[in-house]
Amino acid sequence: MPRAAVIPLLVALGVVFGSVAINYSERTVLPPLAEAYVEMVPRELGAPNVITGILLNYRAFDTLGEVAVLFMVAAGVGLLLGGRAKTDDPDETQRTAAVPPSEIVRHGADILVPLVALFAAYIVVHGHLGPGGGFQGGAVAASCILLLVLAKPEYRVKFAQLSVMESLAGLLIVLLGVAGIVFAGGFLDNRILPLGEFGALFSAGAIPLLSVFLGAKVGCELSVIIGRFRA
Amino acid sequence: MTELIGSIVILIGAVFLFSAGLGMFRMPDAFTRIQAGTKATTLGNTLVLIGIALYFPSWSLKLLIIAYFVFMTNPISSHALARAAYGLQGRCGGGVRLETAGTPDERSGP
Amino acid sequence: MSSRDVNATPFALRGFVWLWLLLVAIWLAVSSTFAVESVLAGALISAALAAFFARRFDIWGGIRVSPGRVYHFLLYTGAFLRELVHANIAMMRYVYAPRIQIEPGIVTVKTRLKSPIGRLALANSISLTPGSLVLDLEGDEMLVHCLDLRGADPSEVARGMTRGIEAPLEKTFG
Repeated sequence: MPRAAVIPLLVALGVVFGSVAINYSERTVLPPLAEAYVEMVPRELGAPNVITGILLNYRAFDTLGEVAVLFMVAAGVGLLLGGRAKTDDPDETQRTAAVPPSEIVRHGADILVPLVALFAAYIVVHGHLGPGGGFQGGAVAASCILLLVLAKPEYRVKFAQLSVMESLAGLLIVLLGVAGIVFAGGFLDNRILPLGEFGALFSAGAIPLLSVFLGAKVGCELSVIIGRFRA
Repeated sequence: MTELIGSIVILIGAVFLFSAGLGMFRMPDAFTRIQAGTKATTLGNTLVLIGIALYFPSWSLKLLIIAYFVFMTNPISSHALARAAYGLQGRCGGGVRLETAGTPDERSGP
Repeated sequence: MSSRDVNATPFALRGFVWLWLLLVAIWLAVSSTFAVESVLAGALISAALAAFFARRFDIWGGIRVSPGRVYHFLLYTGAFLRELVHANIAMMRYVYAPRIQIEPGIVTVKTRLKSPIGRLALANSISLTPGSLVLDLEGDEMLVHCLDLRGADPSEVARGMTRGIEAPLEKTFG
């Protein structure tokens, strides 16, 4: 479309966003259910982050269901895209792209991948203290794999190892849940481990442990999906 | 007082970010648009981060790390985009003159 | 011990140590607490990641630190920041001019740097300063796309691009 025709569109967008910004008024009082959760989570679970407390304890069965959905997505993508024997050919050691990435991108990826991996670990472990947790950290870990896939054409995503790790993490999550039934109040209850000091790293019972297993599982699943997309 | 200075710095950063968008709109071809779009955003981002650091001094170390990541990744990604555009030169990059000798033969200009 | 040995243990060990220190520093900065368990967890995670990555990525083994190198790195940072601000303001002049009158072109720049980190830093610095964008880096030649070659001699532009940046980088990274 000619460039001048964009101007009315921009004006319309400006009007929409302007009206949203002007009419925005911050809610000063929480609705009753939210109020109850905000008061319950730090007291009963020992976790400062209310959202993680809900996701990984009060509604943890839901979270397990979401992880199962992600597993189905990975399986579906693998079914649609992964049927070629080329990926399992042991003789194919050299995978070349049409124009291989320049050394700047390769060295840049070399420097960035450990930093991104550290950031993923940080997000996973601090899930109960601030924004973060298993899902977010797993997504960041998968972006590490994405960076490697883009920067190094000869990098092979190890589907077998990732599948094993993902299944193991899922098994550990269910075992944690059963331990919750046996030793504490219910499935995936976090009080099987001591609640600890509020705000410390090793606190809020089993929530950090659950975050780690979730992060591993989600990271592996997303990495498998990303790996399947590359030829 | 520092909040006021922080706000002004954030405003200047926003002006740089806006000029990045404007430059991307006005520039004639792919390479110049990449230049306009990815350069001014780096400085704009850095200024916004400095402004936030003035607002919340306790966050300065984390913001420094974010600024480092922006400095590290912005040029690499713009380089990757430009290299891809250079490889496709026959199809998208009009108006670029090759000034000196030594450019590879298989990627000669338009 | 400046080249890769056949027995790569000392090379990988140096890379491991520097990567470990860098990761611990970043963990401390990001978690912004010195509580014992946080520091311990950070050290363990950083050690695991460093052990995993330092062996696979050669670039970490090439890091050498000495007072002279740190001083030259600070020089490079100062020169680079000054260059960045100055060139960004020049870029604004181009963008807000009533008519865009630029003559873009590609020049070839020669570089003396050999170490991967040094070349990466040089390419990043050139790409970050407005008006130039690294298109390719092969051997000792760099293809740089310049925004405006109007009225300037291309080889002069090529030489001026690395002035003030390449010398400190060479002393820092080799």
